[in-house]
Amino acid sequence: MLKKFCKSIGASLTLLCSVSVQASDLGGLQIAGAADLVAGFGFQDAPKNQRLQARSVELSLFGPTDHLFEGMISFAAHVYQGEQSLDVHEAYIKTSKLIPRSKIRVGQFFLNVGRLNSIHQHDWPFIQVPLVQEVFFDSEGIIDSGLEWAWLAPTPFFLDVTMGLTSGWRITHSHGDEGEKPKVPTHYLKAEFFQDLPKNGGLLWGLNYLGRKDANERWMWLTGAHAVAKWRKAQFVRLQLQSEFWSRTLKPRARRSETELGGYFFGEFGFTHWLAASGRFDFLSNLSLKDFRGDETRNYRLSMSPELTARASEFSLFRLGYSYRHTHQQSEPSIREHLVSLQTVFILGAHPAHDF
Amino acid sequence: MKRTWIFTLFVVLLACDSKQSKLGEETVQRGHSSDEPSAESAERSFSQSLQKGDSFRFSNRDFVVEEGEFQQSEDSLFGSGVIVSLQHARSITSNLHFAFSAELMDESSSVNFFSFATEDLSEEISFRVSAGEILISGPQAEELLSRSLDLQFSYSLDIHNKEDPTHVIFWDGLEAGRGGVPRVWDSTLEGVRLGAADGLYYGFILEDARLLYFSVEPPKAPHP
Repeated sequence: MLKKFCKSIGASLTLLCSVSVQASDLGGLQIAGAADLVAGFGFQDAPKNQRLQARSVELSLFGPTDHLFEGMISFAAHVYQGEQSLDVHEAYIKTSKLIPRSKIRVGQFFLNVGRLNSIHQHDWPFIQVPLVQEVFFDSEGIIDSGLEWAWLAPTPFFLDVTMGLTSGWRITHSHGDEGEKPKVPTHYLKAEFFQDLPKNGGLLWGLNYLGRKDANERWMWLTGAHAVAKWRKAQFVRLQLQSEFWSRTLKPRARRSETELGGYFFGEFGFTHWLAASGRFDFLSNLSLKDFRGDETRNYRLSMSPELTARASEFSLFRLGYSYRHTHQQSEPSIREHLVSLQTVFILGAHPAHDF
Repeated sequence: MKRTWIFTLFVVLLACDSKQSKLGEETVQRGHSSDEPSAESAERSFSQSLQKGDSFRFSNRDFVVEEGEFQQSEDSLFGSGVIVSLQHARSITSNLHFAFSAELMDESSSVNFFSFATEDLSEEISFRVSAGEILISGPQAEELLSRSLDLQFSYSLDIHNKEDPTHVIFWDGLEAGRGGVPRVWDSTLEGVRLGAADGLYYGFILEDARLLYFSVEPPKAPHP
């Protein structure tokens, strides 16, 4: 009897200890770090003093908060005017358990519009920022705080509709300034479709809209389309095609509107699971550019960027790339930039699953 | 008697040498004027009066007179009024670097450089230099800075109109961005919200001043 009692006490103590260990096991918290290191060697009109440096270093914490919600916090350090600057990139809470077929997130995040804007830069399939992303989305992407709701439509085909409403105090990169309350906050809409393609392929494509009226009553409308097609062979992507087209219209209070059109085409071919070659073509033009006398000013910006990527796994890669950028504006000397770039990206710890 | 002759000969020789020098100078001048015009004659050879509506070229850039009257010489533009460049920014949301040299005639003169102005030359970022002060203005605010009383000056400016509010940096002199020349003023570091300009056009408003040099380049303090 006594032996049985002691055994049960011992078993209870053992169970208590194991429960205590699980309770102190960070409650499902995942930690991930990512570093994007880039070196550039410019020729002709390209900047020439781009030494190897950490373009961004990111630390993310994510995991369940309780049975209904999950949270994400990410910090990123960037070089700003020669010094490292640490920012909170994302801090939001999300759930897919409150409203059927819906994912809702509240907080600060990269706006889920287009293709690149919702993906962290270290996950992009190329080194240099596309022209349209650089001009319309402030390079790395538009970050804002607010509410976003993604709804999977009950249709026989895949249709995912995302709607967002964010503060709009800031739309571009600016340090040391919290921005200003807009007349109309940032609002956006994305409709995304998916369909299978022959030979183990898939196509994700979508239509996008974003609008905002700033404190100075300047309207900005962004409309665009994006598409990503992938074909897999065994465990790696054999062929990936990606493209985005965007039109941006700015309508200031005191002058006529300005419309710019741009986009990129990107293709990557995987020779093996560790080696791939890619190329990207960018274009951008201001369709309403006129000089002071009202005469049209012809202008365009073009860029071509072939690259070679070596991947040890999905958590580390090395890239070698060349970029030629040609900027032409009537009555101005053309700018020709040649840039050779080296990049290494590595991810530590757990990392959220990549989208298609 | 002998000393007198020697003295007289000395004076004559001295006189001859002086005359020879003058002749040489005249020869040089005549030679100079026939092969290469002198600075003065070059200035006289290129000089034009400009009035409203006239187009002209200065510092390799095309301008039009919007108001006032100017006198253009080989290397300067003098007068009072408004000139606007026929080249312009690529987009409202773009960043540019400007550099200019000018000379004030007196304490009442001024040189006002404006950028990213609309078609009616409003909603701009402007940089007005007069004797003793600089006034930096934007659609929402302005900042008054003191400067020396030098009538001749050179300044370089980065205007980042892609940022909101517009980010303005200026340096003393024309060598900004080279050799670590320190910036004199930075709107972001000073916490000054000038607002965002809404246009594409840049130019000058001169009040009894002479413009000596002007250039436009990509920004010297680019953001990542």
